[in-house]
Amino acid sequence: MTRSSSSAKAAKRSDKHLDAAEIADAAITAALVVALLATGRLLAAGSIFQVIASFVVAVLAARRRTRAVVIATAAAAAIAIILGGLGPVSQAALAGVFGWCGGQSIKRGWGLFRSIGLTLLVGWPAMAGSILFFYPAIAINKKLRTLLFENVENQADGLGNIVTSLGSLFGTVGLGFIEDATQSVANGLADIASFLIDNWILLIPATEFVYSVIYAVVIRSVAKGVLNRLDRTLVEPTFVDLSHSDNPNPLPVTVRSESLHRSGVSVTAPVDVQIVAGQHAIVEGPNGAGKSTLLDALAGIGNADAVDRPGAVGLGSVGGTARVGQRPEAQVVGTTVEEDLRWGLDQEPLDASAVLADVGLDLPSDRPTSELSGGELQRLALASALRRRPQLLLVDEVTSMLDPIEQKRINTRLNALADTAVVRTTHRDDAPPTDTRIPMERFRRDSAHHDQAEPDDLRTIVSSVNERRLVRMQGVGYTHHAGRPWEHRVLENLDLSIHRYEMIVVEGRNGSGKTTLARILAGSLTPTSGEIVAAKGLRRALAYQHVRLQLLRPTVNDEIRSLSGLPTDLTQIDPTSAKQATRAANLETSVELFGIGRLLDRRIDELSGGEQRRVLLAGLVARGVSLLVLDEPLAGLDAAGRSDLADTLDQVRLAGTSIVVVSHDVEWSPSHVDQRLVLENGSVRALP
Amino acid sequence: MSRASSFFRPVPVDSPIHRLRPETKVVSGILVSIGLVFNPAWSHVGVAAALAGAVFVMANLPVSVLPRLPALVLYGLFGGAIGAAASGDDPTVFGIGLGGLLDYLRLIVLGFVMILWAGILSWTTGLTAVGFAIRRIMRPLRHVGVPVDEIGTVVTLAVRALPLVADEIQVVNESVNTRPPPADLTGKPFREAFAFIGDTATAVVIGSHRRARDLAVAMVSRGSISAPAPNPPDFRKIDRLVLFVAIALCVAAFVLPGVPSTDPN
Repeated sequence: MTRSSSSAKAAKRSDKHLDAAEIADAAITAALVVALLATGRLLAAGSIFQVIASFVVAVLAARRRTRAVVIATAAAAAIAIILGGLGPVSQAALAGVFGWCGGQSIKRGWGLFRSIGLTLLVGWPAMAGSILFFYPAIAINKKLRTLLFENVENQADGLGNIVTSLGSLFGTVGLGFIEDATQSVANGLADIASFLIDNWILLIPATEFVYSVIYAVVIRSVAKGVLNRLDRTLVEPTFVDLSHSDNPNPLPVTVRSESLHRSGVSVTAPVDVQIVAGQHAIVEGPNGAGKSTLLDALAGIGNADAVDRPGAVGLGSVGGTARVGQRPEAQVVGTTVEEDLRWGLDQEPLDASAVLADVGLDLPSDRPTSELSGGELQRLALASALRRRPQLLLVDEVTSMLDPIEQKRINTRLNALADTAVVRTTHRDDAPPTDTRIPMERFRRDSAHHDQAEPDDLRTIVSSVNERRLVRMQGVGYTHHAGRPWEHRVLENLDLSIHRYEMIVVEGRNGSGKTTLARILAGSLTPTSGEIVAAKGLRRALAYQHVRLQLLRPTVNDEIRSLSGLPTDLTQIDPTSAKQATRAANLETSVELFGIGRLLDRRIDELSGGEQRRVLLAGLVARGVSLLVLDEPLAGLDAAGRSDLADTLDQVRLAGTSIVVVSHDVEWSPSHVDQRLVLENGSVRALP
Repeated sequence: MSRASSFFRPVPVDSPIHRLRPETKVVSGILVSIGLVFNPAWSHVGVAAALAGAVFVMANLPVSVLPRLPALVLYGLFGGAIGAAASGDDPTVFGIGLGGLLDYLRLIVLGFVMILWAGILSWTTGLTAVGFAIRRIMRPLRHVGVPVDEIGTVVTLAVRALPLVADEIQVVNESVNTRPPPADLTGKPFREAFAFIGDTATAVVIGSHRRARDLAVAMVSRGSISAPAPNPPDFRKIDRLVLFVAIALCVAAFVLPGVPSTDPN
C-alpha cells in the first residue's frame, strides 16, 4: 500500500489530533459532567456531584492524552452555560482540573503523597486563584467583596442580637449569668466574623487547600477501583484507517477464519464467506452466533487478518462501504436530522426531504435527533448509508423497531438495490429466495444448557408476606412533569391487582406508559393520583431492559451476595447471626434454582445478556422479592433467547414470586400466563 | 424521561425571544452576568432583574416553568433572611433595622437573576440549538490556535449523548437505591454512603464508556470523526439591537457607580 504525501501529512496531523476513540470518550465525559452538575443543581447538592464529576474526568485523564481532557473540559464548561450562568461553568472547569490531577497520578502510578502534591500544585491555585470568575471577581473587585462581607457581618450581628435578646429575657427573671453568657456568645460571633473578613486573603486559599487535599484523596480512591474494572471490561475496537478512503475498492471481499474475535475473545465457529459486487446475502443464526462481528469485519472494524479485499474498504465514503449497526440510538451521531445527514458528507449537496422520503420519513431537518423514536432513528441511519451510494451495504437488524408495513417497505427498498452488494442479518425469515444465505451456528465457549435442578428438589424460599393480594392499584394516574409546561399524562384511572404466584403480561405500544407502570408497580415511582396499596412487608423489584446497568459488582459471586444482603467480604461473615444464616440458605436455594452455580467465579462482563438476567433475578429472589417486574425483557432476543427467558421466569415462579412482564411484543406467550392485559390510553383492559 | 433532562427542554411556544438567534441569547446573558458580578449595586441588580422579568414575559413562558426549590434550600434562605434582619443595620423602619435584610436580598436577587437568564436561554432555545451557538461563538478562536473543530465535535457529540446519559444515571440511581445496603456496612452510615457513591459512579462510568465505544464506531461508519461545520449565523436587525443593549449594559455597570454607591468609603 502506497501512501500519497497528502495522506502522510494527514497521518502526521492525526498524531496530534484526537482519534475516534478519544473524541468519543471526551464527548461522553463532557456529557456526564454536565448531567452530574445538572443533577447536583436540582438536588441542591452541588459539591457532592462536583466531586463525582471530577472523578469522571479522572477516569478520562488516566486513559487518554491530556489533549482529550482539555477538550472535554472546554466542551463541558461551554455547555454548562445552560445550567445557570457562570457558576456551573466554573464548576465544570474545576472538575476538569482536579480530574486531570487525579488521572495523571494514577496513570503514572504515583502514591498518595505525590498525588496530593500534584493536586496542590495545580488544582489548588486553580481553585483558590482562578475559578474562572468568582474568586478573581472577589479579589480584584472590591464592590462584590464588600457586598459579600457585609452579609457575613450582618449574619453574625443578627445571630448575636437574637441570642442576646433571648439572654436578656433570662436576665429579667434573675438568671443574670445566662445573660452574660449570651452576651459573650454574641461578642464571639462578631469577633469570628471580623476575623474572617480581615483575613480573607489568607482564609480563602487556606480553605481551598483543605478542599484540594480532600478532592485528591477521594478522587484517587474511587477512580482506581473503577479503572481496574474498566480496563478489564472494555477492549478497544480496532478501526480502519480513515485516511485511506479516497479510492474505495472493497469488493470482492473474503472473510476466512477458524474463529472471528471480539474484544480479544473467540466468538464464532469457522467462517468462510465471499461477497461479490451486486450480491445480496442474509446472515442467519441465533443470538450469540457472531453475526454482528462478521458484519463489522466486512466493514473493516476488527478481525483485519481474516479479511481479504482488493483495495481500501472506504467505510463511510461515497461509493465505498456503508454500515448501519444494531442499537438505533447508537447509529445516529448528529444532534439534528440535518447535521446527522451531513456528517462525513459535508461536501455533497443535500436535499434533506428527498433523502428522508427515500426511507419513508417525513421530518423537519432541524428536528433534534433526541426526539426521534427507535424506528425513526433506524431509518435516518439507513438514509445516511444509502446517500453514500455504497458498493457494499452492511445492515444489522435495521428493521427491528419498525412496524410490519414499514418493515416491508424498507425490505423492498433494499431488495431493489441492483448495483450494491447488500449483507443483512436477521433472525426472521423474510428474505427473498434469490438471496445468498450465510448460516451461522450458535457458538459458546462452554455448554449452552444450564445445569438446573429438577423442580421436585426445590424448596420454596419463604416469603415475608402473608396476604394473598400483593398490590392493589385503584384509579391510579401518573403525569410526568406535573404542573410544568412539559406536563404529559401517561396513566389515568388504572385499576390492577396482583396476587401471589401470579404471572401477568402487560402489552402496550411505544409511549403507552409501560415503563411508568412498571416503575409504579415496583415502588420506585409514586403515582400522582389514585391509590396503590402494597401488602405488609412486600419486597418488590424492577428488572430494566438493560440488565447490565443494574449489576454493580465485578463478579457473579460478589453480585448475588450484595443483592441478597450478605457481606461480599467472607471475613465479615458472622456465624452467630441467624439473619445471615437464613439469607445464605436462601441464596444457596436460589443459585441452585437458577442453575448459575457454574458461573459464580465468572466476571459479570463475560456473561451473555440472558446469563446476566439470571444472575440479577437469582439475587433478587434470594433477597425475598415477592413481586418482580420486568420492563421489555424481550428486546433483541431470538427464539432461543425467548425460550430461555420463559425458563428463567418459570424458576422465579417456582420460588413463589409473582411476575409482571411489560412488553411491546404481542407475539410472545410463555407457558403459564394468568392474566394478559393491554395498556391503552393510560389504562389497562384484559385480553379475551 | 429523567428529571435532569427537563433542564435542557425548550417550552414549545412561539415568541420574539424564541426567534432570537441562540448566540445572541448566550452572549447577552454572559455580558449581563459579568456586569452584575462586577458591580452589584442595587440600581444595577434592579435593572437586570427588571429586564429578566420583562424578557420572561415577552418569551411567553408560563410561570409553571420555574422549578420548585427543594424545601431545604427554602429553609436555608428563610433562616438567612432572619439572621440578616436581626442585625438591625440602617436604614430603620418602625424601629427595625432593614439594612442587613436589604444587603441579603441584594445577594439573593443577584443569584436568582443569573439563574433566570440561563433558564430563559434554555426554555426558549433548547440544548441542540445552544450547542450550535456555542460552536459558532467559538469559531473565531481558531485564529489563535484553539482546536475549535475538535471542541466543536465534542460539544455536538456531548449534546447528542446528554439525554441518553441522564437517563442512564437515573436507572443506575434507582437500582442502587432499591438494593439492600451491603450487610457488612449496615449501621455504618458514613462508609455506607461512600460505598453508595462508589457503586453509582462505577456503574455510570462503565455504562457510559460502553456508549462511548458505540459512538466511536458510529462516527467511523460515517467516515469522519469531525462534525460538519455549523451553518453560518443568520443575524437579523433585532439580534444586533439586543447585542448592542447587552454591551451597553455591561459597559454601564463598569462605568456608572450605581445607586446607592457601593464604593466602600
